[in-house]
Amino acid sequence: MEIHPSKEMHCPLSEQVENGSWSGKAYFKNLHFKDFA
Amino acid sequence: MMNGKISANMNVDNNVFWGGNQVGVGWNMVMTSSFNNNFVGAVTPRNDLEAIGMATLDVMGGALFCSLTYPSPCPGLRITNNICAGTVQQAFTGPAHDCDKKNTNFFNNVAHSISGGFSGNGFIVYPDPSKPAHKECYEVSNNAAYKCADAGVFTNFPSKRVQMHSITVLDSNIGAGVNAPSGNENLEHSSHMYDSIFYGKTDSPDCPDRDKQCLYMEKSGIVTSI
Repeated sequence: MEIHPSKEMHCPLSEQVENGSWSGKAYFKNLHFKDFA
Repeated sequence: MMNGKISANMNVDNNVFWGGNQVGVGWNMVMTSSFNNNFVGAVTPRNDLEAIGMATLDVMGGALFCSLTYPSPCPGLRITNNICAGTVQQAFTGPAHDCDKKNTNFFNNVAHSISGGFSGNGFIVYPDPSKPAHKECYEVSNNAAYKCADAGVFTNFPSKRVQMHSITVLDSNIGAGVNAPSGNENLEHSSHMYDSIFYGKTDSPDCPDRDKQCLYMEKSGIVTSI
């Protein structure tokens, strides 16, 4: 690894694909939210 | 401060990495190695990179494990019991673990006081490229974060299923970003978040010097994009 690479390198954060579809599902279970305004 | 590259069988225990530019600890193309009980802090950007347009690239962070050469695989990493604080862009990047199995590779770490660069996430956890099964499902668990300018724990990588649990996040703009992009309108995919706790505001002030240190933000417990 070059700490300061001369050419562009990518963390997977840069590999993001476009989000948003009608086929995805989200599930939330046993979560606690405290002290949100 | 530490640059590990094309190496195996490194065992890094009980060290302090304090004060540096851009990347505190960076491992890439490393295998069967451990990073345990270390502290990484005070990692700042190199301002001279802004002039050549590199400031927003993801080459910044506190402790980055195999993210700068992703998807080159790094099998057998164990990242445990570390603290990463006061770093630019993100504290940790590291691999997820197998779904419905015990986390044995990336757990008991704490990230705090993360801001700057492109984001300000505590943990960016990616599906392990050395495990083909992670294209079907990957799991993120057992880490904690506080006072992050973006998400405490963040995922956003192509896979059919992401599972996140046993996460604690305090005082951060977003508790967890549990995103599950498919890249395909018709491909079934899902995001699962469970057994975790998120605190929006604790007694510890986010901005003790409110005019100089940071901006107040509208906080969210979870952000999910599917």
